[in-house]
Amino acid sequence: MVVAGTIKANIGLVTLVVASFFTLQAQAQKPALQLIQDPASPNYGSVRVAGVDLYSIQRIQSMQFDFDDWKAIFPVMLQAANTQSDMPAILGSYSTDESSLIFTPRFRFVPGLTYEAQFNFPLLYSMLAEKPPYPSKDILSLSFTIDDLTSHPPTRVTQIYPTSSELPMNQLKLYLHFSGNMQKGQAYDNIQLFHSTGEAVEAPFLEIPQELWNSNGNRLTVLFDPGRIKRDLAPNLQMGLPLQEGRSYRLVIDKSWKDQFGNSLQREFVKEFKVVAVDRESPNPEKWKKVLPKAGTRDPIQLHFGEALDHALLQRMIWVLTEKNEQVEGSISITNVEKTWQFTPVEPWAEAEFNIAIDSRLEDLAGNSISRLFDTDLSKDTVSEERTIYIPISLITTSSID
Amino acid sequence: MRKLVFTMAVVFAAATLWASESELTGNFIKAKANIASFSTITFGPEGILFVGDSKSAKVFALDVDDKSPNNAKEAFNLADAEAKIAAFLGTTADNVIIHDVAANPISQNIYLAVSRANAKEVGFWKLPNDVAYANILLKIDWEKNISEVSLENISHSSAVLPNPKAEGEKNWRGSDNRTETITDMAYHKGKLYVAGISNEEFASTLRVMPFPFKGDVSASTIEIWHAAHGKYETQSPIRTLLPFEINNQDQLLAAYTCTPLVSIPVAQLQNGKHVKSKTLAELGAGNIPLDIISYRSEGKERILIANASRSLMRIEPADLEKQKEGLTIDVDDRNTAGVPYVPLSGVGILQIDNLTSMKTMSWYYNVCQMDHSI
Repeated sequence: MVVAGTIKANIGLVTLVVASFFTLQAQAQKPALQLIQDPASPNYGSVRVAGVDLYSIQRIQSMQFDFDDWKAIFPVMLQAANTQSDMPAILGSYSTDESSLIFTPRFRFVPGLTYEAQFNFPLLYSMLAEKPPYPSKDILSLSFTIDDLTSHPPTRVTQIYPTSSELPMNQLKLYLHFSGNMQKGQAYDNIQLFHSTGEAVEAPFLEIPQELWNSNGNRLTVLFDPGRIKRDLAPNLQMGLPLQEGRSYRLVIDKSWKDQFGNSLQREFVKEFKVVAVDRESPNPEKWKKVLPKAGTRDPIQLHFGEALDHALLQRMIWVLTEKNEQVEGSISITNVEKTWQFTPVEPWAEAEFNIAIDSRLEDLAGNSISRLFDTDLSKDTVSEERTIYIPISLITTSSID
Repeated sequence: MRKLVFTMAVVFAAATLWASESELTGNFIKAKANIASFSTITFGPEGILFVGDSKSAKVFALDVDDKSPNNAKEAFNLADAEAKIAAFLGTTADNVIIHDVAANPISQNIYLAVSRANAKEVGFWKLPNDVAYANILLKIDWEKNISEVSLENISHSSAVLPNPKAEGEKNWRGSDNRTETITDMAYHKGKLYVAGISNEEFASTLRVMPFPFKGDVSASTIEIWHAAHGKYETQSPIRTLLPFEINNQDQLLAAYTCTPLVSIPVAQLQNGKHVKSKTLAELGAGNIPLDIISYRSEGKERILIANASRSLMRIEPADLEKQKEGLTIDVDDRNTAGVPYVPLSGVGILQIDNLTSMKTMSWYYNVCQMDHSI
């Protein structure tokens, strides 16, 4: 990210930055200006100076700057107006979060108009009477043109994981995949779970206000309420598990959920499933069936688990190492209703020894990892340490099945 | 786009006896003022700004905390004024409408009722309030700074207008009747006069609210002889009014669309009463009068009317006194009758108000000019 110099990027559409507490914590770095678009909000979005250190934020909060102070430090202007020195900065409100300064315009940014935000780094620290965290005399600036939103096709749900039509009674997570970025704050109004009779299931999910989005903003993790799943916790005792064995359910993603451009989803998405017995067993790599490719080919390594595992974790918790402990480049695909992991290398397999590495935090659908059960009595059960498990394999020119 | 010009000229009542602050603002509360629309704004005593809110059918009295006298300031021109207001609101001048302008007689700062709406829709028979509800109150000070008057925590009081028109009915100009709940206001001798329409059979209504507001509102319906139409009318609201003494009697001078000028005796404004006004003049059809003020020029008090489709009109108070009988004739569309006026330069001036006895202010399209002589 450019910081020391002036950022002057004329951007049509800035990728939505997910301002969840997860990503922000990772951004303790030099400040940068960003446009955060939320077209369905009354003011279209906000402009941020992201990456401000916590001490500076606290000092800024203690100063209680008024609008005149703020607009000197962090003005946002019409770019056409900016050519004349006496044109005013745009009316709006300024606020802070743990790592950003935030400008929200009083009135909506207008499609087709170009705006310019500036952040006067030296002035801020002179007003704070503080030494800047790093030396800079620069005024950052960002110009942005607001897009005509009507030109964007509506977003749709591309898949819900697990894809299986049978879920264990103690199913822990659902992953909702979208074709684009969705607006935040609407998830729990638009995800509904019904019995096959049509009756709504009461409070099945853990409602997290921040919502659990991936960093690309196109995958939402929804948790069945863990308090109802873990035995003997109060919600479990009062309400029981959200899902009942033997019953059928309809998960409905409502069409009215808005995407980042303010469009409703293309269509409603329905997933029907039947609930089977609870799963209280950890995945056991020793029981997995391996299908190994012949050396010299680019055929995949396949692992057949005999049960569905967590789709998101499978993307990153199994990998292949060479004898020299280097990760083999390739692509992962998850097939067979998440019961099969396969890895296709970029280069043909060498005739050599490899290790399949497995993070023991890999979970099944009920959140049981290789190293521990999701719902376990710590006073009785033994819990193995989190570790990487290695399965040595030897690839030869003749295909073999283990 | 239509040229938008405002002229503000102020006649400062020579010696105003202000009640003590506790008397006028004693029942004010400091809290958020929930104003839904700034349909019309006018200053009262002690720098109190009255806001007529047609959308919520209420009148607000705001202590805008702007009482530093500012008489010594140099005159100035604020060029490109509307573009600057628009830039302040994050848009361009064609997306901003200025609905009303009022000058604080103490500080001489200028207050504006503004909306971010399509200014191209304002035009013949379409006033700003016909196009949108003004939803923001701005101030321009003598350093030419534009700022928002925040309503979040402001000392204020309010009064409810009984029997407003429901939203959703259209008038002959195609705008919502509700927007004419309050068309103009004037403060005079402890009372706020609020012109507009109600849901009564005779819609045109003058409400009188003693200030400080105590909940008592008297409402009179008003009848006029509309000479250009050749008939008595009770539906159209007063567009602009001015408390004025004629023949030593307190009167309200009121101008109507298309364009009768009438006088209404203040003494007759009693709750529930139907008041017949006296038509002093027919100022000409095809026009909406926008503002009426009295001001001082050439050593005497005069009356000035700004119009949507006619020039500025100057009227001599002596001519009002000479008009002994009200007009009852049918005047041809193109003609005028009754009290004469002198047309002044200033076509397209949309608003006028008072600044001080000696100073005037004009707001031409895109230029705010202080100390302008009319």
